[in-house]
Parts: sequence; structure tokens; C-alpha cells
Amino acid sequence: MSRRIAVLLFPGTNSEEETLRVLRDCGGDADFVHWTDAKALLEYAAYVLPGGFAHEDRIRAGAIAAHDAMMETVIAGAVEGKLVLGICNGAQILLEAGLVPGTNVAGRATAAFTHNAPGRHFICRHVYVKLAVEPSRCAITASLPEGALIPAWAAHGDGRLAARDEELEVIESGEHVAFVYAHADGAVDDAAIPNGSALGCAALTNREGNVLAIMPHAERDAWNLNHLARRAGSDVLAPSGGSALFESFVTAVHS
Amino acid sequence: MNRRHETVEIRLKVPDNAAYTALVALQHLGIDVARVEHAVVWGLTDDGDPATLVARIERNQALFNPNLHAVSIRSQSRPETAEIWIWEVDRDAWRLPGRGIEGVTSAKPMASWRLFQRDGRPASEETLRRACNELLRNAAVEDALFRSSYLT
Repeated sequence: MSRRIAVLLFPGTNSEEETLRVLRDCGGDADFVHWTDAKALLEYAAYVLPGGFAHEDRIRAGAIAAHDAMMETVIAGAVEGKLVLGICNGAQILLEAGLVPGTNVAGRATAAFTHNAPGRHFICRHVYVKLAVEPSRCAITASLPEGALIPAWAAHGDGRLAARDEELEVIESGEHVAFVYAHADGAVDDAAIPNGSALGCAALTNREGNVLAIMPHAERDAWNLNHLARRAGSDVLAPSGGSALFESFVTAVHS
Repeated sequence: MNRRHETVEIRLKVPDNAAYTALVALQHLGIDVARVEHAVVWGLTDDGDPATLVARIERNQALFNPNLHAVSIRSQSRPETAEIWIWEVDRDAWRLPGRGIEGVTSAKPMASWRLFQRDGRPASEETLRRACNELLRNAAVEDALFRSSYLT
């Protein structure tokens, strides 16, 4: 059985290099798949949608990419149970495609990562996200410890989870919020939320737990060179905390 | 004080890439449209002199670039034929005091899309509704208004 991981390239994707590298550093057999080669996705066991501005975020962040030919295969794969990880713009695409929170038919969005509030400002700052569900709730987080704290960089203008009130209740009661924003000591409160996100949400998973959409870039805090609180000595290329998410993802792909 | 509600359109003078992308995407989805027009429509509450509103907007460099944009005041505060207005439901997300326009106390941005058929006539309401539901609006967070109906 294939254990290959596809890192999808949409026109406008810009975080693919570090995403591919962290997956490989974590032992993943990962390759790029270009939007002109959508059929190649069928050969892969798992999909990662990196950050960027796919299709220049025209209409809405993720709206056009959600209808890209590649997404037909990703949606079909997710329905079959393949693992799908979306980061930042990749997360927005997964919401637009209806894969997370996945409370409706695939292809119909029931929530969005939309304009930050208040003020619609783009933010770029270091954050921590805390695992808010049992690790096994989502296959991608299954190897993380309970309450895992992951450092990452929030870099988005549209990262606020928003949905109708009734849908937010479903998201909360169905344990779809996989990660919440937290302080460096793991404390969770409104001050830790950089973008007004409902439920303090930094990441959503679907009902089946095989799809994870996370807004902050853990891959940008995957090596000591881009993390202030280094995890493993002074080697700049040693893994830092963000790599834990990808280690868990690769473990899930191999299991 | 002479408080009024005004509807202002800011349209690109240069080719609108978003409109072209929307056209291609709608056609890809099997929706029969041949031309798409796009603009941002602002619902403003204005306490200033009506005669100077356009000039006041044009002084706001965050909203207006004279090389790119044209500003006009709409005579009606509802969509025109074949036009959809789409805006985010969560008022906290967009309610900014006047967006820095002198005299303007609130400003609500809406995406305006106008769709036309192959023969040049305005698209039907059924086509508008389909375009809205399948691409132009995320119903989870956005409301939409057509000339004759309101989608929540």
C-alpha cells in the first residue's frame, strides 16, 4: 500500500518548500503535485495543502481552489478515509470544500476561516496552539501527547473561524475544534486568540478525524532556526516544536 | 447634523481579474454566463456634505487609488438588475467607524457581482441564485441580496 504524501501546488501556493521539507525530515515520502497533474494524486495515500494565496484568494480565500480539479480527488480520498492536512490557505480551502467541519455533504461549506476581527488586519505573529481533543479523536494528532502545545506562526488575514450559531454548536459539541490558541505556558484565554476566532479555534477536524485544517504554520516553527525557544540544543537545523505535528502526521500515514 | 445613508460603488478602471476568474469558474461549474462585472459597494452612513462625499472618499488612500479606481454614488440602495450584493453576516467583522472617511460614521462593504448571458442580456434570477450558492457566496458566513430576494 502506498504511503506517499502529496503536497499540492495551486497557483499562488507559497509555503510548499518548507512543508515538503518538514514532511521529509519527519520520515515522510513526500512529493509535490502540480495543479496541471491532478490525476497523479490518485497514487498518493495522503494529501497536504500548504499555505499561500491559491488563485490569489479571488472571490474568497480558498473559494476557487475548492473547485480545482485536484480537489475532486482530495474530496474523494477524504471520503474514503485518506489523511488530509490543510495549513493556512490549505485550511481555508478545506473549509470551502466542506471537508471540515464536514457536517454537510462534501462540497458545501458550513463554516469559514474568514476576515480577522476586529479590524480585518493581516497578522503575522508567533503563537501556540493546544490540542483540545483526545489525541486519538483525529488520526493526524494521534501520536501527540494529551494537551500537546505546538508552536507556530500565525500569518493570515482570514483566520477567524466563523459560522452560524447553530453550526458553531455542532462544531463544539461534535469536538471538531482540534486545536485552540494558547499562551506559551498552555493557558487558554481570549488574550491568546490573535484573530477573533470563534471558540478560540486554531484548527478543525472532521467527524471521522481524518482531515485536519490548521491556520497557523507549524512548519514555519519546525526547526530551531525559526524558533526562539529551541527544543533540542543549539543546532539550527534540529527540530523544534512545530515538527511534532508533522511527525504525528507521518506516523499516521505509515500506520 | 444631516445624517444620510449613501450607497457608493468603487469599481476598477483596469481589467478586473476577480471578475474574469469568477467568469471562468462559473462556466467550469456549468453555469451559463458570458460576462461578469465586479465592484465593491459600500453602504455608508454619512454626516458630511453630500456634495463632497466622492471627494472625501477619493482622499482615503486605503480605499481609493486614482490609477485603479472609479467612485460613483448609486441612486438606489438595492442591487440593480442581474446584480448580487454579498456581505459578511458578522457585523463585528466589518463594522469599522467610517473606514477613516471624513464625516462617515459607519461603512458596510459588499461584493457586487453582475452576470450577463451570452446574448448580452442580464442573467436570470435562477442563474444568479445558482452562481451565488455554488461559488460567489459562502452561505455559512455571508448573506446575499438580489433585486427581488434576500438569501440568508
